[in-house]
Amino acid sequence: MEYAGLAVVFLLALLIALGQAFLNDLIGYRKPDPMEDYPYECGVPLYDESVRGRFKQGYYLLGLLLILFDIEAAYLFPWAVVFEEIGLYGLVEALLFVGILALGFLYAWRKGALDWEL
Amino acid sequence: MSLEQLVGTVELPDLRKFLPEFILLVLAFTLFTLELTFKGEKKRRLLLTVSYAGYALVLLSLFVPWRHPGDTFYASFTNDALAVTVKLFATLLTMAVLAFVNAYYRHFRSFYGEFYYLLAFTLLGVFILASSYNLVILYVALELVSVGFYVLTALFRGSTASKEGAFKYLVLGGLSIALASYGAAFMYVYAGSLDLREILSYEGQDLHYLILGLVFFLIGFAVKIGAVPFHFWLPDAYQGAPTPVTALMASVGKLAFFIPLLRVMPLVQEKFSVVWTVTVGVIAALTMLFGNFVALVQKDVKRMLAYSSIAHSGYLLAAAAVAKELGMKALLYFLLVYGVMAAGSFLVLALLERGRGWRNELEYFSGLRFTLPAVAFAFFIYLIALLGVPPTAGFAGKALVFMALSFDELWWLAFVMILSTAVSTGYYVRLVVLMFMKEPVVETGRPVSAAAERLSLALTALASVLLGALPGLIWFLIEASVASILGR
Repeated sequence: MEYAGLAVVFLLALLIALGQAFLNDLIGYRKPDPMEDYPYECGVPLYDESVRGRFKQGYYLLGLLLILFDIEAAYLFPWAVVFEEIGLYGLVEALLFVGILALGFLYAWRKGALDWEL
Repeated sequence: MSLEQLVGTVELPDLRKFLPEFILLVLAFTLFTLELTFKGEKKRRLLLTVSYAGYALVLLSLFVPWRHPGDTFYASFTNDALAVTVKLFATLLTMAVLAFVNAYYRHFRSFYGEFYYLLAFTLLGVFILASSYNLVILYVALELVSVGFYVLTALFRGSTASKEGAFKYLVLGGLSIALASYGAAFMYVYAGSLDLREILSYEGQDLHYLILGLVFFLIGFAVKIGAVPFHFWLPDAYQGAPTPVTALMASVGKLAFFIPLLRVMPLVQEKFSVVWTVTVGVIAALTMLFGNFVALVQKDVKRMLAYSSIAHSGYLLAAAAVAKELGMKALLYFLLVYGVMAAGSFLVLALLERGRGWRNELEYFSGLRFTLPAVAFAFFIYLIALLGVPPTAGFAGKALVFMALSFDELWWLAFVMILSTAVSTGYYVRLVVLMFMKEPVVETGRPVSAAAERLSLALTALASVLLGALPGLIWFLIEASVASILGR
């Protein structure tokens, strides 16, 4: 209990800090600025209107396809290295793994994710 | 290392113990294939029919694991009465929700064939979550349910609210999964085992690891069930999601996320029942008060019901604070009947939203008795059940929780529960008064309901009353479930 004083100080400090923040919110002087929500670009007016735009969906698609193909290959490497030792059991497991990922590939194919257009 | 050393004594999985899961998995992949093969109106009807057939088959197959309790998959999959009870209710509720799906998505021009197999995979996650003590299996099942819900929440064409809700759910859900796995790691450090039964009965030196691990693990679940102060995602996700999905999250989702908590309850009795009671009790009190007071000021009925769902998490946690037999029975009973009431109340909204010009705001419910008497009556039943008026299931649930609290002499928690129930009267009764004693103020179109939807609403309304008036109907399931988890 000899450190109880520290805990009290900590709680008091927290209370004072939060209390002041809350008071500021409650009775603080408010003056909304028209430029408040403006995108910040080093203090000068916006040069490039495209910064307001959204990312193209294609990039997300690319990311998902990367998981589908690249990660698959990454996991198949260690399997290939120990293939001789684990034999048929390993083959079946790997086939299941590839089979599940193949369903993902089938899905991407049928839904037109492979028709690349930006 | 050879394969024989790796797997040790090879034990073949016992199909009788996971037959429903197996059928569900086959169903999900069948739906996946059908979705890619067919097109147009034919696809919609086919997917719905196959889903219904599959879930009916799952329901029938539940008798097999009921007759053959026990562990399989090297004790990582536990099939007992509790698991079967949860699966029964989860499947029934999913079928009730499924009746509303096609018409709802057609009305909002947001048909996605993916919905059907995502639903099947989510239900598979619920099934596995309901029947495991293994931390890794629980983790994977939790992910399966959550990812299903994230996507189902976001699958709503042209609605930014749904994307916003899904994103909040995703971020906080990711946090909760991270915390849960962090906690699981600590528990593994403590006992050197992944099985919750072994971890909690292990006599180790460093209890700190166990407490730290259990706290993190349970915080992970607290985020999922929307306990205060981890509830921030819930109102937005519930409001933004397509309403049938909201009904699913509030019923099946809540059911699933509470089961691991229920499974831990008998195991904490000896070691830290006091710590458990205080921690869970305080969270329960906060959740009840917050949910009910905030629901009081909501103008949007869907959001109001979302806050009511938070408040009900609080009541359920209050039952969980009593880690004794009665507390477990109260928790399980309330959980099952809350699933029915919550699904029903959100499904009413799913029907009403199809009316032309309808919005879920309070004044739109004014005089619903005149425009849609049957729907208004069903909604009335769900509302009094959620409030806990005597003949309904909500009353029996709350009475059980109160009894459990009073036997354990947790008077302060019982007092908070009564207080927050009194507060909740405000918003439930206001809605009832608006529907039955006021004239319509807004002109809206009347939605056309299909026979399956009327049946679904009638059955859930009937169950909300009958399960409360005659709890004996499901009490044998609850007795068997609690006996099965206490027997370890």
